[in-house]
Amino acid sequence: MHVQVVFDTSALLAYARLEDVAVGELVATVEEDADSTDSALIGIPAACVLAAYSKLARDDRARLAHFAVGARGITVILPLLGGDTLAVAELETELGEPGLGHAVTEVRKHAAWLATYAGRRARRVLSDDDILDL
Amino acid sequence: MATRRFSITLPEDVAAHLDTVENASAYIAEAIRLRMRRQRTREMLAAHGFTVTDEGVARMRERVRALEARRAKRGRAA
Repeated sequence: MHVQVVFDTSALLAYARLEDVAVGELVATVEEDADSTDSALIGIPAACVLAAYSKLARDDRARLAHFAVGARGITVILPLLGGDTLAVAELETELGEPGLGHAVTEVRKHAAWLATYAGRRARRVLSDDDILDL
Repeated sequence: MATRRFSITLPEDVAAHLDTVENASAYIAEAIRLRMRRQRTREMLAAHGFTVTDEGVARMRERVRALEARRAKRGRAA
């Protein structure tokens, strides 16, 4: 499994609410640039799904659910592992953005980059080269 | 996995390239699966309500490639 990019809560909210076509263009770009059928997945941290889901209206929840768990081969849910939980909690507290700590942890774990609308906060713990501002 | 045998006609340049690969059937199958996946992605985006254009995707591709290039440069420097 190769996770190329991680979507944080802000990116998931923008996707689910259809707020910005850029997030859809990014999905298409990642998928269309894949050089094999088992490469270039979009990683979706479980904590970001939890954070986004509760903020969404019913129709937008359905869109998020299909994107996160119904788009096999395009996206993959990244679980929060027991061993990562306290480190994620520390990051979440430091960054003050629900889900961002888990997203940062997954970016590091998969050597991926982060797609986000919260780039300023993410840059407190990630390099500029690890972030794509949407 | 079940398979079927096909007889197909290809342009000379494509056929010449295919002569250089080890397993032409697997190569063609992978290429078609990639095409199917890309089509499914565009269909999913449209079903979700996104109007994604080739121009918009091209602009995003430039940004992604620039980011990847900076990351590769950083990796080489490390």
